[in-house]
Amino acid sequence: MTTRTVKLLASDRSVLATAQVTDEGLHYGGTVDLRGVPDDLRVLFEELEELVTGQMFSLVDGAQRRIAATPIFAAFDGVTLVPVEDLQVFPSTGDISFRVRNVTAETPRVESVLHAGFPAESPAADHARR
Amino acid sequence: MTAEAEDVSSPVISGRGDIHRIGGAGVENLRLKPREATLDVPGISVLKAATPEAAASAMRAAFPKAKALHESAATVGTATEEAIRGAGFDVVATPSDSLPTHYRIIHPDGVAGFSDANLARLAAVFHDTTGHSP
Repeated sequence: MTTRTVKLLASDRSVLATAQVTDEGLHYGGTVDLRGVPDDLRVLFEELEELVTGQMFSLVDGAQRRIAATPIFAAFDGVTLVPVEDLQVFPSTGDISFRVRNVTAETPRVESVLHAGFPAESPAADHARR
Repeated sequence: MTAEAEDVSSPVISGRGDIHRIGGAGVENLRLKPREATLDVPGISVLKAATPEAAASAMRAAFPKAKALHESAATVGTATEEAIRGAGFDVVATPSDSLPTHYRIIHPDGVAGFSDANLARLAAVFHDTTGHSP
């Protein structure tokens, strides 16, 4: 499997984190550098890790909804901006997994703010359509 | 402390299979955690599945990078619903977004029911199996 770089961006297009991930079928998985993550979001990730690791699954949905309340987008290799779903980050190990939402014609792109010149259609978009 | 909102209105158990606790059924692993004590109906999380391996697989699919939990899943405790009820506890379906086969073991006395003596009775109706690594 090919490891790819993905930037996670906030809705204002500021870069929250950079991850190295592979397409693992139903999700992308890999490791993430959390140094740019705002404290409030990091706290949510820590809460999720505590709940999952502690098997407090009755409380996980709530934690995941709180994380999902912050719109986060993935920019694979600097191209297509893809909304992220089911984002799970485990700060103690630096592990990350997420899925990408279907890409439509209305999906915003970030060529202008990241690395312009990449192909318009990214593998991420292909993955989302599968 | 405020109880977290939830829906455990349906006590009807559906689906097939036994009840499984990731990490095995030692008393310490069955103990109610402080945050679980705040639930409207306090209880611990279990999965219903045909086999312990299926339960471990469902957990790994729901949380693909939760490495510590994956390691715990090498051991799985298994019991029937009837045996759990025979030990004085109950089992209710509490499907979640990520775990549709999520159930909760609860006690008629709530938090107080998760005493050491009761947990020992509960642990006794489980049996552990190992080797459920991916």
